[in-house]
Amino acid sequence: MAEVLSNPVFGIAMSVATYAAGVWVNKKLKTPLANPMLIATALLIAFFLLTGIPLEYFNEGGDIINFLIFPATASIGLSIYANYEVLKKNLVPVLGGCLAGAATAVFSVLGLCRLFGLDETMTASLLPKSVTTAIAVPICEQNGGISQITIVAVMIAGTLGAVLAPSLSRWLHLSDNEVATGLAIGCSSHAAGTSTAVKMGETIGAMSGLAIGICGFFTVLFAILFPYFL
Amino acid sequence: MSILWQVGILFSICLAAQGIAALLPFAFPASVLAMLLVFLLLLSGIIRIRHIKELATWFSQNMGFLFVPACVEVMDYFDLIAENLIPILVIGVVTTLLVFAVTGWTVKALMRLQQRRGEKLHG
Repeated sequence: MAEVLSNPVFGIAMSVATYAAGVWVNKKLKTPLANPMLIATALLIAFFLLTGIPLEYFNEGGDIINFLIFPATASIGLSIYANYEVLKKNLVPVLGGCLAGAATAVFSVLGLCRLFGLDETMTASLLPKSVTTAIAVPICEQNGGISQITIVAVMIAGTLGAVLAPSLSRWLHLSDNEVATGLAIGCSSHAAGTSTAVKMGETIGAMSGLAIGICGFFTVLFAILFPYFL
Repeated sequence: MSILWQVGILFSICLAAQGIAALLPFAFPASVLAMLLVFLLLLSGIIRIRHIKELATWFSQNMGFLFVPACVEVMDYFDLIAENLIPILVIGVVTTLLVFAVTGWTVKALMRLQQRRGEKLHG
C-alpha cells in the first residue's frame, strides 16, 4: 500500500479530485464563502485525520503542485499587461492607491502585532497578509515566518473582502467611484476579492486585478525593510 | 504557440528571475521578479501575449488549486493557530477593513485632485 500512496500521483489525484468537488459545490451555492480551495483543504484534512495516512505520502505529489506556484506567480505579469491601457489612463490613482494600501497593511499589522505582544515568527507570518498568497508566502519565508500561518491570514482577508466588498463600497461612500472601489478591493483582499469585483463591474474587476500585482510589488519593497521592524 | 514552447518561454523567464534574485544584495522573491519580467518583456515587445497566453491564463485561473497542498499543511500548525486565534482573527479583520478604507479614500482624493488640476489647465 505504501508503494502506491508514496507515488506523487496520489497527492496530485487527491488534490484534483477534492478541488473539482470544491468547484462543483461553489457553483451550486454561489457564495464566496464556498471557496473551492477552502473546500478542497477541508476535505483533505478530514481525510488524513480520519484515515491516519501520513501527510508525507500526500506531499510527494503536493511538492510538485507547490513548485508550479512559481511560474503561476510570473503569469500575473500577463494580467497586469492585459490591463495596461486602464493602468496608463489611471496611473496616479492606481500607483498612489496601491502604495497607500500596501503601507497601511504593513504598518497596521505591525502595530497590532506589537499590541498583542506576538513573537517574531508570528509577526513575520502576518505582515504580508494583505497580498495574494503567491506573493505573501515568499515574503513570509524570507523573514523566517511560517507560511501556513500566512495562508490562514491571507484567506481571512480574501474571504472577508469577497463577502463584504459591495457593502463596504457603499458604507465608505466609494460606490460612485469604480476605480476607487476596484483598487480598494484588490489591495485589501487580492484574488478572492477580485472574483467579487469582476461581478460588480468591468472597471472594478480590472482595477482589482491590477491591484493584486501592483500592491503585491509594493509590499515586497516594504518587505525589504521587515528585518529592521522585527 | 504550442504549449511546449509556452512552457519553455515562461520557465526561462522564471530561471532568469531566479538568477537575478540571487545577485540582488537584498531579499526579493524570485517569483515576484518573474512577474515583473513578464510584464516588462510584454511591454517592450520582446515577447508577445500569444507566446504565453494559454499557459499563463491556465495558471491564473487555477491559482486556487495550486495552493491546496500548502493549505493542507495547515493541519500541522493547528496548535499554534489555536494558541494565537484571537490575534490572528482581530488582525485579519481590522487591517483588511482599514486597507480597504484607506486605499479607496486615497484613490478618490487623488482623482479629485487630478480633476481640479485638469480644470485649471483647460478652464
